[in-house]
Amino acid sequence: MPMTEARRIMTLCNVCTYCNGYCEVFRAAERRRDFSDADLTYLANLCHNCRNCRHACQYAPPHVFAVNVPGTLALVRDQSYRDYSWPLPRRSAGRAAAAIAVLLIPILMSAIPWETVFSPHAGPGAFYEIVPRSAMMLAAVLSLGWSFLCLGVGLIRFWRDTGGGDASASVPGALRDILTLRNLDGGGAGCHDPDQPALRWRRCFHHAVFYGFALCFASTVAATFYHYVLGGLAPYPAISPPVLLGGAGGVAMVVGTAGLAWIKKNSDSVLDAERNDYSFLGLLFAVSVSGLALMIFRESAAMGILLLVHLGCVFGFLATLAHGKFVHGPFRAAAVLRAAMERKL
Amino acid sequence: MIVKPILEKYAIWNRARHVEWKEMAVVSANPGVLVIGGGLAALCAAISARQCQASVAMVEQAPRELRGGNTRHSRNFRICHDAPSPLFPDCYGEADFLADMVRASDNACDADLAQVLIDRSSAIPAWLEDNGATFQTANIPYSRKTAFFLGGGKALVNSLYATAETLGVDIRYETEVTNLRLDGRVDLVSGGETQTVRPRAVVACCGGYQANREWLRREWGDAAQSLINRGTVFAQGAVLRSLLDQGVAAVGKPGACHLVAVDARSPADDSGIVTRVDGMEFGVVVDRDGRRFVDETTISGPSRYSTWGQLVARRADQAAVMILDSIGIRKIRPSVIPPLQARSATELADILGMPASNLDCSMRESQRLVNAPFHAFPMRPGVSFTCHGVKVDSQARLVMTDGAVCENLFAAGMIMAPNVLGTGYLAGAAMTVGAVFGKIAGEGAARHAHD
Repeated sequence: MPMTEARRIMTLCNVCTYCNGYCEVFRAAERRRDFSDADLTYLANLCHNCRNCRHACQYAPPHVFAVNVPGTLALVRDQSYRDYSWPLPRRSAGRAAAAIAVLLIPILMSAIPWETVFSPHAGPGAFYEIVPRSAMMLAAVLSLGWSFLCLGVGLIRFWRDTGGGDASASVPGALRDILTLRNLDGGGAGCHDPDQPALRWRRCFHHAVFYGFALCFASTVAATFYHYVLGGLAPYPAISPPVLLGGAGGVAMVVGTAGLAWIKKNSDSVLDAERNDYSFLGLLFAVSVSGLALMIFRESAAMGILLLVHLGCVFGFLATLAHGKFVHGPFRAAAVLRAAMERKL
Repeated sequence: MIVKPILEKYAIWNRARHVEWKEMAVVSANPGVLVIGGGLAALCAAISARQCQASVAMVEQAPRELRGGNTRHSRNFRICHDAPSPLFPDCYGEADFLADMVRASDNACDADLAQVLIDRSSAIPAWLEDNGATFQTANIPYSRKTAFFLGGGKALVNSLYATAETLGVDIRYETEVTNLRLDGRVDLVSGGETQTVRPRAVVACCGGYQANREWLRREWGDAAQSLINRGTVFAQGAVLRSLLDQGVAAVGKPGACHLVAVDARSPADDSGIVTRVDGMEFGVVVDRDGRRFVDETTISGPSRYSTWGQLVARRADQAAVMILDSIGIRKIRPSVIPPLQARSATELADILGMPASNLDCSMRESQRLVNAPFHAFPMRPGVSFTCHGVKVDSQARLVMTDGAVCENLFAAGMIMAPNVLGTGYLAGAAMTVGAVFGKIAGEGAARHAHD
């Protein structure tokens, strides 16, 4: 049903073409004469849902043609996440993650003596006095490995179904588009909603989450370097790369996820297929807030419980990556890569 | 009045706004400047008048969702420029522009107004950008003469409305003007309530009457029922009618329309650019009786749309059909309304209700219809705008039949475009007329309101 509607709409867009200055979706559509399901899946994942075309559309409801490109593509995109979800059906990964987090905490607590959890620990190795490093590593490797396997299978299928091909030459162009979110820039006009000035912030908030996440990842890499190369044990001093990177990344993620949730709350239901699904934002928010709290209170008696909560959130997040909203990242990156490839033809 | 049945078509919207009507019904009784209309000309008039410190009210007949007149359906406008810029390549000089106007209007353009239009056009893109508009500088076809609005006319209109609101223009939607009197009194209807306001100056930017079937019938007779209005349903021409009835001089020609061949199955109004039929040179075009009436390959270039519009309008029942074979259909973009299909000429004649012998003969004759299945696009004339308006002077003030000038009444946009375009068409010129004369009228009206 969304496919039929998307086909009707993109056929109309290809006759009109007024929106081709906004983003790659319309230019990619113009390279096609007819739209297969795979074409529409590709276009839907290429759409960053900036909504400029919705507000510029001379055929938007109440016009009888009732054209709503971002809303319709959002439904197709949602369908594609379900179609390429492997091996489990896509469902609210947020709930699953919460379940993991909630279960993990009492399991760990039952294995660890209470007085260990609730007494202050300080100095190098303090975290590992609560949860052994080997247990942390095992959980991280298992959850991340599982998610990468699932995502990889879905992504390879998606790439093959939408046309396959060797995209290596187009990686630099695609990388630039991804890192700058060029397609969320509305062709230079910015991504904004005439009735809701807040939407102009979407790109900023998304960047905050994206680069905040990257900083947290960099913090983990730096910590690994400290551990294995410099031989130091976590927690590291306040003025050290792992703490500074993680702190900055955590703050950016808190601001970004809160901002995106605020925009989502005010968004038009016809434009957002997952309007009421705050699970991914909520999870990222929980990961970053618990991480920051752990950093701030790491010398107090609350450190033990904060560590458990943070680890629960992190492992819940990592284990459910492939079955939640996170998949929009890799799938959109693949679509942006294909668009970069097509531009070269 | 007229607006009510139109609004009922948009029932969802109607319900939502109904509550607000009561409080919105009354426009400030004496605004300095009242702008009638909601398209590019009206917005330019309202913004420029407000920037000249006048108090400005703007009455738009359409609901907010459908605001913007036919600017909603536009894409680009024609601008005089002496050097290439990100907006357009090469140059488009004064003489070039003027020659195009003279040719398009078939020598009917007012030389003074044409000069004003051309001179003032060059500063318009920067002025619009200052007021929130964004132009498209990439992924556009080569166009030496026109600049493209990013996202098209509706995006342009949205940004200008936002600016007008910020500047403090009192914008009233769903407010219809039923009468504009020469002394400046204006009769309004809003939410079923009538009101008469007395602004110091009025700018009429409310277009032609292409949506008014009654009026078209007076000039086209029964043929009017075959016309499809490509633009806004709100182009009813009430203000134009009232001005002409009061002795304002007319320009253009009663009943003259810019026509384009559109799919006969298009909605009666407002389908804009997407139901335009193209690709006749790849197939054959026949009339109601299945007979060809022109060599399809001889009609080409950017003027082909209006040439076909005129040709279709002159056929019996104002009807014609474009037929493509399975190779021809691959040469055009898939249409918004899918074509009728048939395996043979006989089957097609049956579907179209035409004499099979005539259709068969027409299809053989052209030698372009070889491979079944055949695809048929029934066509009707689509009206883009009417070419009949009010005379203005170079300050956009209304001129009476006796040559007297109305100091307090101004007009801009399609309601006065025949002053410079006659009954002709020049791509992108209508938007330029709207912007240039809208700005001139707004400034003039503000000046008059201060005096």
